[in-house]
Amino acid sequence: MTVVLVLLAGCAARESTAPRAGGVLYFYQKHLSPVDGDRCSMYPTCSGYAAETFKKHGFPVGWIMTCDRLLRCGRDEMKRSPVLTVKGRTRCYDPVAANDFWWYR
Amino acid sequence: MMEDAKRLAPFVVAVLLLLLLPWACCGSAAGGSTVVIHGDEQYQYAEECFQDGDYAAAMVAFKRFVHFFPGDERKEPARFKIGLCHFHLEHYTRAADLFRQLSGSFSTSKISAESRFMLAKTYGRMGRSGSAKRVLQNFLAVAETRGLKDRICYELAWLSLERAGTMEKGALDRAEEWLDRIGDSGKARYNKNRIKTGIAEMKAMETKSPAVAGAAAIIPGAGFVYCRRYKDGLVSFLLNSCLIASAAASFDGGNTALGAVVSFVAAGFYSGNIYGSITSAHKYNRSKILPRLHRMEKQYRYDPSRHWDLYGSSGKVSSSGGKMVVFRISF
Repeated sequence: MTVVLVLLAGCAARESTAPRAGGVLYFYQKHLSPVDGDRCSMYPTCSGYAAETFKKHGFPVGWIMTCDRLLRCGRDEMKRSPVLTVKGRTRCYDPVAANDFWWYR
Repeated sequence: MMEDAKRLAPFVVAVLLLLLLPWACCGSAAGGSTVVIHGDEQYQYAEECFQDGDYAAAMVAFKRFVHFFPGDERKEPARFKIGLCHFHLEHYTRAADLFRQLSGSFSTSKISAESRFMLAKTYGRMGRSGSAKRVLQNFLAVAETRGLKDRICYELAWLSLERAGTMEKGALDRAEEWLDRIGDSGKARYNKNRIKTGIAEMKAMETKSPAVAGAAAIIPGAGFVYCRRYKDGLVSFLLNSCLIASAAASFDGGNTALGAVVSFVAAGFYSGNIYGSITSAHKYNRSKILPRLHRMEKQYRYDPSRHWDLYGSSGKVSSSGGKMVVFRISF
């Protein structure tokens, strides 16, 4: 469990998708992420990605895609996806559409 | 006497002002310039904006042309250009509406044909490739000339190639089939052989099988390693192992509730590992195919609409049906 929390904390960011996101994500973005700071190296950040994928695909698929994203965050994806500069920080662009293109039309 | 004059002075001034005010107003209007704009000038201005890539201005100018010169023979081309402006400005729904209208209203004209092609292209941009395909296939069913059929087949081939960019299964084969339907007369024009060579090269490229990646991911991380994502593979292996071990330990220790929570998280990460491996294989293949596709598109994609004298463009002055259509703007 600690490992999961460490992974989530590693993706802390203040990007707000709050009202649209579920209660847990809202709580995370509103209260936990500001404490930990903006550290996610991907864009959208993992919590923003989770909010988007839950909205787009609903619970089971959204949950699986969020876990997949947490596994990939900040590692090999950095060399393979386009790079963006967001708020002065270089981030790896990895939207939901780049991960569901092969089955979701 | 003097007192009477002083009393009357404000009235005299007021009367004079009342008399002069309308004159002053009219005077300012009469003193401005009057611009007479002919249909040709308006169309030419709109064309210039379009050629400069200022699609917002071009759209307004074309709309003005259509409104003020409804009898002009270039009304339909102007409406088509409005559709193109919407397309370039990424107002795809409006563009599609307009192209749909134009494709129906002048069924035998070049405008109608071009509108159908643009409608398919717009649907493609909207992500509605099925609709795009239907538009082109219906068009193919009613097309009479060999040249038109060739072009429709060519556009259908490119539609399939675009689908190949999203890793759709069999898209490259379908593109080849459409290219094969292009007749000998269109072979050189549409670079048929070169595109087919490009497709053959893409097919021969080293790719990763999503099925193998997914199967390998039964051992956490192995699917990522198969797709040459070694760090992701290691993290996936460690994380999933830890989660599965802690879930098992929780159940063994009699902590059923904790075990259930950890199992839920573990199930998510395990499934995420499989999903990510399959996606990684698709991404790997896409990273090989897309650059080749873009290069091919740049080198060989032929846009016949550029070669047709279709829109009455290049600012040519047309006869306007012998009528002199003007409107005036007063400043």
